[in-house]
This record gives sequence, C-alpha cells and structure tokens, in this order.
Amino acid sequence: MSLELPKVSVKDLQEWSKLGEVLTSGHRLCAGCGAGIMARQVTLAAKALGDPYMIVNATGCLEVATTIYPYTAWNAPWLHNAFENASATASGAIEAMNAMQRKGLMREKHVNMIVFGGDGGTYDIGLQSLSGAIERGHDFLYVAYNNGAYMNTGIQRSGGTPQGAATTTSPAGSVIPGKIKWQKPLAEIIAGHDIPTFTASPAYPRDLMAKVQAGLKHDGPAFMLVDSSCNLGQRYPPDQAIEVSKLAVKTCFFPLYYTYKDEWILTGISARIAKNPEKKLPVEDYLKPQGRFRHLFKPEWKRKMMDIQDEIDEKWNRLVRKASLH
Amino acid sequence: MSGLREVTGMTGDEAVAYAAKLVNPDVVAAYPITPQTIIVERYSDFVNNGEVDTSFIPVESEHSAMSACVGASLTGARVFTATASAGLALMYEILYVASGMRCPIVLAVANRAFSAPINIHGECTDQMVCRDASWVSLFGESAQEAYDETIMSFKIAEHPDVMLPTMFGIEGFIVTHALERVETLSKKQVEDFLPEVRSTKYRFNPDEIATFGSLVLQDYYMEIKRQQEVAMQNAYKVAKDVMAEFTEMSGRTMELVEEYKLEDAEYAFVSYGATAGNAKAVVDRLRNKGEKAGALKIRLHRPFPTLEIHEALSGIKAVSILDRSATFGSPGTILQTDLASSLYGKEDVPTLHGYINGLGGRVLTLPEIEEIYEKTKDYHDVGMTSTTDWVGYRSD
Amino acid sequence: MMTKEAPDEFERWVKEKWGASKLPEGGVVPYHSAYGYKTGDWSAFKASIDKEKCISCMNCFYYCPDAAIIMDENMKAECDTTFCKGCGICSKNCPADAIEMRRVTR
Repeated sequence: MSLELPKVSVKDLQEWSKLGEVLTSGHRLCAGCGAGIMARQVTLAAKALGDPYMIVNATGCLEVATTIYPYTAWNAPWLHNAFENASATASGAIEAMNAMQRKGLMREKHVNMIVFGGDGGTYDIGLQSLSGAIERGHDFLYVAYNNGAYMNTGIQRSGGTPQGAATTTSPAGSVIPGKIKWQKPLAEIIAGHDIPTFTASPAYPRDLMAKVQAGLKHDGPAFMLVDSSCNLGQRYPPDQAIEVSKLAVKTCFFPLYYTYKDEWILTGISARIAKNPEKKLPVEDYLKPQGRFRHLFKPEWKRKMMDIQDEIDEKWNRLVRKASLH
Repeated sequence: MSGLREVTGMTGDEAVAYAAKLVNPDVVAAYPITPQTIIVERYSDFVNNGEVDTSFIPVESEHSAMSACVGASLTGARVFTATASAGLALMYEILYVASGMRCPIVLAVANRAFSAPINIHGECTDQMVCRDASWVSLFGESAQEAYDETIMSFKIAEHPDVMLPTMFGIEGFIVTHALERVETLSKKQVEDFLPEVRSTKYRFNPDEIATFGSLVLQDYYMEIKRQQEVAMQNAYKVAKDVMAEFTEMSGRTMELVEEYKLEDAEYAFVSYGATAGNAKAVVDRLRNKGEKAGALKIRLHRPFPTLEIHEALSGIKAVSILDRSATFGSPGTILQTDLASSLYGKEDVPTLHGYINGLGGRVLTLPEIEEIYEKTKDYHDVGMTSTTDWVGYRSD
Repeated sequence: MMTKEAPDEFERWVKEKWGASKLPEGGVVPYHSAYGYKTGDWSAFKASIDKEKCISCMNCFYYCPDAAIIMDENMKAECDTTFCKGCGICSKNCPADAIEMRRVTR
C-alpha cells in the first residue's frame, strides 16, 4: 500500500489539545451533534500538520449552525457557496491560489484544503461536482459526514440513508417501512476514481485523525466518509452519539478502512473483527438504540431486519475478501 | 491614444478570446456550449501554448463553472468565464451568489435562445432574464464591441465602489461567428488600463480568518442586499467613467448609449446588440427618403441608464423598440417594460411600441425594419401610446 | 474559569445593529465571533469533572461537539460552563468515571 497512515498516540492527542480550536465553542449545532465532533477532530488533525488550512463547506447542518450571521464559530478561512458545489468552489479557490502564486501575487505556500459536505450535499446533489473535481486532480481532502438524511431541512431521506431507516420522506408507514433501497456505496464509488479513500468514525479519534493527515499529505484529491451521529434525526438521547457510532463499527454496519488503487486495508475495530469474526455484533445491536429503526422491531417487519443483516454480512464479506488480498 | 492602429479580422468569439488574452486573467473556469465554444477553445490554445498565465479549469458543468469562479474570485484572483443560453440558466443560482458575495467576475455571454424547443441561434433572452441578479450587464453590437467590452468589464467590475460581477453579451452566430474588422489593442495598453492587482478588502486565503457565505437571517439580509443596490448605482457612474477612459485610450467612442441621428429625429428605433447595427442602416435609408428617423442603441442595460435614455428620447414622437428577447403574457417587451418604467410620468416622452423579433436566430431584415417604422407611425397617429407586437413569423 | 470574548468592534456591531453602510460588504464576517453567543444558556446540566479521577485519556476533549472541555496545565479536563450544552457525551464516555452531569441552579 503506497499510502501511509501516521501513528497517532494519546500523547499526540494531548499535544494537539494545546493547538487552539478551529471550530470553536459558540456554534449552534444541537447538543450532542456528531457533525460537531467530526469537524473538531478533522480540523485539529489538519492544524496539527502545521501547514495553513482553508475550509470550503457545503450547505447543511455544519454550515448553517456554525455561521449564523454575524456570529461565526470558525477560527479559520472558511467559505460557503451553495449546496451542490463545494468541490467546484474549492477547485476554483485552489487554482486561483496556484495562479496567483505563479504570478507572484501571493506567497508560495502549501495549503491544506478541506471540503466538508453532508450526505445530502455529497451522495446526491453534490456528486457531480465532487467527481468532476477529483477527475481534474485538485489537491484537497473531501470529508463527507453522513448522518443518514437531509437533517438540516428536517430529516428527509438522502442517497446516504440506510435501508429501513425512517425519515420524513421515507416514513415508517404501515405499508412501506422506511427507506426502501440500500444507501449508495459512496466510498466505493469514490475509490473507483483511484484516489485515497477513507472511512472513519469520530468514536475513534486516533484512527480518524490519522486518516485526515494521510489524506491531506497526499498530493491530489482524497476522500473521507465519516459516520456522523445525529441524535435528533436518528432519534436517541443526546449523550448517545459516540455509543451509537461505536456500534455502527462493531456491527460492521460502517466498517473502518482505507483504500487506494484497489488495495483495501481495514483499520481499528474492523481489522480486529476480520481476524476474530466472533467479535462481530449483530446488526440489531446497532439498530436498537435508534428511534429511526424502532419500527423494524415490530413482528411484521422481522423479515426486513433479517434482510438488513444479510445485506450487512454480504457487504462485510466482500470487504474482508478485498482486504485479505494483501 | 494609439498612433498606428492594428486592424485584423476576427469573429465575435475570437475577439473575446483575444481580448481576454490581453487581460490575462488568473482563472478561467468554463464549460463548452454552442455558440460560446470558440471563446473557450481559443483561450485553451493560449493556455496550452504558454501565451497566457491562467489556470484553466475545465469544469464539468456551467453550475460548477460559476461556482469555481466564485471560489477563485474570493481568493482575490481575476476571473473570467463564458457561457450561453442553457448554461447561463444552469448557473443562474450561482449568479446570485456571485453578486451577493461581491465577486467581480467577468462573464461573456454568447446570447442564444432557450430550450424548448432546443435552438442554438442568437437571441438575447438568456441574458435578459438575468437582469435582476445584480450583475452589471452590457450588450455588444459587433466583434469590435465584444473585444472592447471584454476589457472594460474587468475595470467596471473590479472598481472598489462596484465590486459586482459583470456580463456582456453578443448574439450567437450573428456576432459570435461572423468575421468582422476589429481594431486591436496592445498588451501594454490593456495593462495600463486595468489595475495590476485586484483591490479587495477581504480575501479567502490561508492567512486571514474570515467567514464567507454565512447564514443571514431576517435581521441582516436586507442590509447586505441594499449594499448591492448601492454598488449598482455606483456602477452607473463607474461605467460612464470607464467608457470615457476607454474612448480616450482606444480612439473608439464608447458610451452608455449610442445616439444615431437623434438630434432632429421624430421617430426612433431603440435596440441593442446586432439589431442596433441594422437599425442604423435603416435610419440611413429612411433619411434618404426624407424621413426624420433616428436610432438609440443601449449598451449598458444594467444599471439602466435612465438619464441618458430620457435625454436621448426627449422630443421623439414614437419609438420602435426592437427586442430580440422573448417574454410571454407581459405588458411589453423586456426592454419596453424598462423604458416604460423609466419614462413614466416624465415630460416630453415618446409613445412606446415594442417588437419582439428574431427569436431563435431568425433574421430581421432591413425591409422588415422599415415596415416596423411605418407601423409605429400608424400606431402613433391613431393615438396609441403603448403597443407590443411579434414580427417576422408565419401565423398560418 | 476562563472566558473567551469576541473582538471589541464586533461588540459594537451587534449592540448598534449596524446597517448597510457599516457592515462589511457581501456578508463576510472578517473574524471569529462565536464567543459572543454563550450556548451554555441552553442547558441546566453541566459536566462536573473530578480531576483526581481524570486519567488524561483525551476522550472527553475530542468527543465534545462544542469544545467545552478544556485541558488544564496538568492535562486534566475541565468544563467550560459558558458553552457546555449539557449533552452528556463526555460523562458517558469517560473510562475513569470522572464526569458527572450535574444540574446547575442559577
């Protein structure tokens, strides 16, 4: 594997706590918001690298709740354009700085460009601009935080909503129990672009932050998919964000890995589960704490729950097979 | 003012590309669409042959083109792009972002009809419907004007009192692809004319902490929008000054509007774009027949030059507004509505007769324009103050 | 407990409710200003941390969505109550059981 993940120790975490926050207190994300946790870890990892960083953010919870004019919680150069074009906007900013540096209008420096987008702004409406930016090869790290729905506008289903989840546009009805189809395999799609692709969870900050640094160090586009808990939309008490995300990983609902040019490497708990399959928890453990899956526990939808377990198992086995080739 | 002038033959699109070459913008992010393609193609030649120092971003859609331009412009770069019709419609959302975030982007529009039905030919509706987007908007009659407006647009847009994106349009194929005589400028002339570095107070860059694009609620939104209106009002004066400077520099007269034989005219044409050229030719014909005809060409459409237009048209009995743009169920053609609004209740104003023509690139011939002249006179004689007609189409 | 405040000019901006001629153009906010909005008001619950028990594992610091956990000079955690929204994630995930969510009465 040509891509190296730095080792992040607890000592590093302690050192980095002295850097000063990038996404600071005072934002208006919900209490217990996974996006807030994710964004803090990503930006601190970037800051720890030492090079200047800039952030482009698509419309969504993270953007809206942190910049209610005239208050802004971003202690950084930060730009929001619209919903579907964060990657295109970042492309323009990156190339503009390249041009100005070439022309001597700006001091030469390497800038770590981070682009944030939710599942709404990435899986669906933003996929085109992301794919285009990757094809053109701009140097940026795209961090997609997937909370499983268009949370900011009221929990509507997205391409990243898992099958069976209840959202306001795929409600748990008596005839159709939640979202019908499975979510888009976004990490695989982006990995197919032959760029470093990572999955991470804020429940495991050392893993997440190492991947952020690897992605930023890589010259060219890189992509990270983060499992982002949303206690409001996924329906559980505010203190559950980390617990639920851990279960996502432990049940293999959201495996942790990174991939580059057809090499797949599992990390953290996922790597351990691949070696010790008995550690894998049933998907039911992940679904149970979340109100958006509550309907699946009714007797009439038992089949649905089994389908989800089968689907997860199949996807996990495929992933393990790909990872075991190395 | 230049001594010996360089003259060459160029199509409208080429003229835009060559003028942009002299400007040497930092970033061009564009997506191809007929009839703008030649602009982007020529410019790509310049980039790949090292004749310009521009980061060319071959984006995957027009929406991304304007998005990339916004990102680039906010870092402080000089930015240029071009599009037409459906492309302009696709970037429409971001046009408002560009002006809202005060990005002095310059956009060349190869005016083309909208689908449906799909049509690739010259029509100005695409640019007209952007008149509310807080962009400075100009129209060009010829390849020469395309060349000149490319250069002037940067100066108008980047002026510290303006800082608004600027678009200028030339009709698809009629101007974009027609080979015409163009007087060119030298690189030095353009470098002297434009400021070397874009002035900008806040930049999106690694050294400055700033948030661009906040969520603004009911308590502040209107104030930020009001700033744009103030900028537009400043743009009126700035455009005048820039055009005066350009006239001085190039020897070619550039003004917000162009008056042709209007001093003693009784009936006048008001038009913009290529049609304005035909209007002037018809004025000459009519004058030969003893008619007191004149023509007014609108170069600057937004901000609307009310003062100049009122002055030019006072004393005129009736105007024929030749409008190559489509609007339906409307109280007048788009330009007619602008004129009616600006002249309403004022002293000494003509009756207004709008003529929607040339949709989908249909040619409005000189004899047809003469017929329009007669029709307007008839309308005026029977006391009609405001009429709107479609001309040049088959009804059965 | 430390307090973090926004720049002076910003205080005037908000108090005087600036209009079109004073506001920076284009809606840009040319500095960081969120410290002016005290989200601690949101909740009656705050994290109460027993520093004796704290093992500096850094869980709470990196799990807090609001950066309301501050590490002191001994790398022990403390809660910034001006901004703590009382979500309870820190308490839930402290391996040393050093954090308790306590109701704060005014």
